Amino acid sequence: MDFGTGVDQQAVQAAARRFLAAEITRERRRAWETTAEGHDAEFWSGVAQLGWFGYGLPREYGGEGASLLELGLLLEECGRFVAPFAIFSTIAGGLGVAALGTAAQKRDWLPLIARGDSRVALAVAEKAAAANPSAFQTTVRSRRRGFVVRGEKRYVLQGVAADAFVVAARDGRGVSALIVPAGAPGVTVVPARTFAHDRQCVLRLDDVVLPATALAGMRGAAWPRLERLRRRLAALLCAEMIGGADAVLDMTARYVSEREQFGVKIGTFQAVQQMIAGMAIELEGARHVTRQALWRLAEGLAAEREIAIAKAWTGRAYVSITLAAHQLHGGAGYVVDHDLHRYSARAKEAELRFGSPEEWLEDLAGRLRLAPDGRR
Amino acid sequence: MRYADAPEQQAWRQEVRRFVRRHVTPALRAELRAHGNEGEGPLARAFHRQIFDKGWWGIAWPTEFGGLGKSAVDQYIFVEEMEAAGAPAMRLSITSVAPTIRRVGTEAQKERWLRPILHGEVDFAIGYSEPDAGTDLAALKTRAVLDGDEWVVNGQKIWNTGAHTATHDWLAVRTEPDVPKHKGISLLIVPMDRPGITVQGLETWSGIRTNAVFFEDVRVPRDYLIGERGNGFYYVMMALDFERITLGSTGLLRRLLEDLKAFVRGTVRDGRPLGAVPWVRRAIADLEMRVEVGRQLGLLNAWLVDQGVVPTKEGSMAKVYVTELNARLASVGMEILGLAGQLAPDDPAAPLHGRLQWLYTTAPLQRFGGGTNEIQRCIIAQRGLGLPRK
Repeated sequence: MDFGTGVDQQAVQAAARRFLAAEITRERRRAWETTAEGHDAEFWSGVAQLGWFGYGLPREYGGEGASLLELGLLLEECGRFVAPFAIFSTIAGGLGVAALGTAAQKRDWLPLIARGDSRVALAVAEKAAAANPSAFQTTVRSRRRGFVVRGEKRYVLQGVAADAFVVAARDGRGVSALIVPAGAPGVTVVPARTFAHDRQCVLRLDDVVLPATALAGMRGAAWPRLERLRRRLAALLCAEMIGGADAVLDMTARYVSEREQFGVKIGTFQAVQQMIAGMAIELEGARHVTRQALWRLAEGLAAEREIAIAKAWTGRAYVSITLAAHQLHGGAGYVVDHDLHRYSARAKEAELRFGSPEEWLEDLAGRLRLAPDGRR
Repeated sequence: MRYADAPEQQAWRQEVRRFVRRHVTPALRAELRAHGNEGEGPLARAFHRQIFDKGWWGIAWPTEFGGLGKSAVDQYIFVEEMEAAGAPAMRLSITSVAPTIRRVGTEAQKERWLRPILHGEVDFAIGYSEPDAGTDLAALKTRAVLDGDEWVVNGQKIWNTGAHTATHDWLAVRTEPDVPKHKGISLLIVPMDRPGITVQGLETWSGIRTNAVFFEDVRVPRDYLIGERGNGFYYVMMALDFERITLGSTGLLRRLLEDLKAFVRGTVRDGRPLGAVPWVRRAIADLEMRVEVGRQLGLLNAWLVDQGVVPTKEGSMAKVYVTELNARLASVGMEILGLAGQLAPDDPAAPLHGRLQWLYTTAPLQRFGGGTNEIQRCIIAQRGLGLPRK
């Protein structure tokens, strides 16, 4: 066992922290609220220059080949500053192309993504389907030497700024993945309004005609790889969550240590101390089940059980920590001028994305072989 | 970073596992259940002897005191495997008293006490609480007055579990009556065979016997006072910190959860396999998650000890979390057992030998004992996160 971060890992985290602390000012965040992407070009190129978009991508395609564990440590810092969710989305899109794309698609997209010049968004969930591919309404069929895709994808992260989408579509009995350029005729992007303002969209695909080269991987065989990708992204999202939860606990401990009522600091009240301690325990557990899952992924070990535990526990913990923080901040943390609501909304959205705690617990139950005939 | 046993830890775990698989027999477990804390039966005594001969009670002790000089994580692994096998627990003498003597005792005291503790010749009951000094331990009144070369002890202790079987009492006493209450306490070792000691048994809900102990002009040698006079309160806190390192182990919970899963797999209720019932599946998965979280907190604590840190915050976190989880697992587990969950350990039809029912009744003790969980949370908030005391 070794719970410590290495010198290199600490350096990556410290550099990220310095950058985000300096760049994300209150004024700038306010200005970002009115933009379509949720950030500005200068910030984006700053992130790109630091190499974050290519950090976890293969070296042969312009990336740095960092492991999921290292990528997670970086994302912890993004979570700590509630950095624009576009960073996570872009990294996720890159990992999606790397996981599903053909060699040619990787050559086309990954170097651009790594440099921050292109973004690819993942489009899997639909109005009535998220984890069961046979329920997908989006379909693909052959036409001449290419394909036609039709359907509607939802909850697409950063869809408004994407240059292309990795679309999961029902293909006969299986699922195919296709890379759909945002400019292809028949593609419509409609912004969705979410309470964390993270620029999601509805992606309409009205008989979009694609060349044969749009297919990512084998026809009808994409689902196992999409599922594997979803597990990895769930673990990575946990890393973002623990960074955010850490910041919320920190700001709350500081607030109750300064705020006075009845002539004393409210942090002296036992009721307050009990809540703070509860938050700290939830976070410490989240930190280590998350890092355990990412460490196992990075080492190439089986991690399904650990990912399920990480996402179920961390999703709950981050939500519960932000809600306790609201209670302890009172009105001071309720105004939009205070950053707390940004964490709280991000926490709840993250809990829902890539499988909710209850869904992951059911996944975990399935792995424990509780029913005699393998019945779920 | 490494979230798994290192190869040498893996080998150590296998070694312990092989040993317990052979030596923790159903007969030994039955004897342990039957004896409770009424002293060791012949099988437990023989088992203790074997562990001693292997040097395993002193895993994390320095070699100069007869230990193996291994790490706190190695000790955690040992405790985890022992608990998982249903083996006897490590004594508080070894996990709490001895490390404190090692830190604060004089050279002569270390010579005098450490090896006998390791050999099992000296076994302590822990005498901190009094009728009017529980969570507010510094309010204790039992006094020790120096008379020539001996301390003379007068007063009363309560919840002195093990006083009826122990050879010695590890006693917090007031030696300096004229200074602020935290600064007037010392730690004194009192042999239980001295004249003037009366031990009165108290039965508890879980069946664990505890005691009220009365001291009337009990005389002990002057150098039985450990470390420095007046520092006793801080030594008690230190001993409790050490105690919490092993308290954070989830080995027992892991074993009970595995047994519970086996019960679910093998049970049909109302014509339906229990493992296909949605609420049962969810409850088991939830426990699986929670036990894993507890394991990480316990291991983190042990790892920090190996880094030379006294993990006050993390020790309290592990104590609170694991003891709360004991209560939850017992309660949810009994619900899954259904009506059979109420069967006592001595009923032959009791699933899991009634261990969940046993845990249900011992869980309150673990939550309020060793420093209540509410006080632990205050420690986490104040010492861990810097919240103000005043």
